[in-house]
Amino acid sequence: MLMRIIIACVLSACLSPVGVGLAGAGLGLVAWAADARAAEHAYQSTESFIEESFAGAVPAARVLWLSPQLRETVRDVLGREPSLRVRYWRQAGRSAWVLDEIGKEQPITAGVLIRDGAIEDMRVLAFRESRGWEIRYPFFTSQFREARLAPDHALTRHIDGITGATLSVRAMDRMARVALLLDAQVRNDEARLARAD
Amino acid sequence: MRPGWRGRTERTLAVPEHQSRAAGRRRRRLYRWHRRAGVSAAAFLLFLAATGVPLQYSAELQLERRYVTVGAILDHYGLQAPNLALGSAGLVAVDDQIFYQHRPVAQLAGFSGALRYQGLVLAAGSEQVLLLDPDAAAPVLDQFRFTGGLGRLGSIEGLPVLETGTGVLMADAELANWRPLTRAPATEPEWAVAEALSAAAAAPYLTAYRERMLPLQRCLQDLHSGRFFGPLGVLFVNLASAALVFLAASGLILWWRQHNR
Repeated sequence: MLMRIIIACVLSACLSPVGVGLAGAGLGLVAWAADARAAEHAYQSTESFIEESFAGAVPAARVLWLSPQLRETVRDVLGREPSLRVRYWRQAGRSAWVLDEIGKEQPITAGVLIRDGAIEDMRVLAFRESRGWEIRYPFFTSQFREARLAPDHALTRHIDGITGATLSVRAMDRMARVALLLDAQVRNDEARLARAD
Repeated sequence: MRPGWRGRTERTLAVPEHQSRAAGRRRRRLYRWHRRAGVSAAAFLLFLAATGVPLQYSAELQLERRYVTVGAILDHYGLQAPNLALGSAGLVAVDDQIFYQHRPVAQLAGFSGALRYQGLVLAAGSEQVLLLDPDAAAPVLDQFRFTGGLGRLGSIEGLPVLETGTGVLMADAELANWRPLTRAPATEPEWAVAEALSAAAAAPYLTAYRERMLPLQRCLQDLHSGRFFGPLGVLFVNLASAALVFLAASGLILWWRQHNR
């Protein structure tokens, strides 16, 4: 019995160069496949998303500069330093935001359409990660519809995750919350201006 | 006495003495090899743990965004920076990495030039234009993506203009919208030009670029799999894995024999 085990070990050691070759080829194929998947997948352009969101009557883009207080809140949600300004489109109580957030290594671009403080539509516009692209499907993105921002800046709707796409799901969650935060800021600013007038 | 116990006793008693001695020799030999494999595999297991545990927490440790800067390791991988560094409006581009005062501030493919605008910097690439505040903690303020490829970035009457596949676009003062330039400008555009830096000026940027070529995660993965050491490393990992299989099998056999003694 012992001799058989030893013989098996020696044989496996002798055969290992073949195994290395096969493993190398296999790893090469896996790496090639991963690289192929890591290439950018643009599902919809920003212009197309905005046009669709506003049914062709596209408003001009506006710029929101983040106040120090808003920047701190967004920083808490993102877990990193946010950009100082964000472009958005707003018309008739609806606002559209195109945001980038890193899932694991590469930024995911998402479009978020908000009506009266609730998400009306959320889509993945471009995906650059090697894994987790399933988040682009409507079965996932439709979960964000009607989600609002809770007082603790979480979403009021539970978002089911996707196995193997945890980091991408989290990135989408963060982008939805940031879009709602920014929309709330814009609506507050508008309300303040209206009162001042 | 249970029948099973009686049966085993009878079998043991029935084994001739020379066979019993041979079984003892085999068991001692197995013990010896089990110990040797255990000692050999211990170092391998420690190495696997040291390289594997950080990989389990690669996202939390941000291993993909940390880089190996040791020159010898970069040499081992054969990683060399390109020879060319382009400069424009205080930005320096090496390949798709944009630097400002030796600090990496953004990634932009096909850097063609930059211009300063209201204390900020606009940088044009082959597919997008970045609005940068190079001194900010998050330097990229905005990204303008265009389909169909981009040409030169410039300015007319103080406003940025951009050559695209569909014509020249002009930005509004707030840099929120780019609209087609329909009227004939009073002056010719001043185009931003990216110029190659001299070897001396480019050297620190090329070094900084090289030190961002190898993510720590990749290096740890290669160490973990043995690929870092080439085919011999993979062979070693195979042999060490075989030792672990042997350990498991011999341990089971030894346990089984002891249990049945």
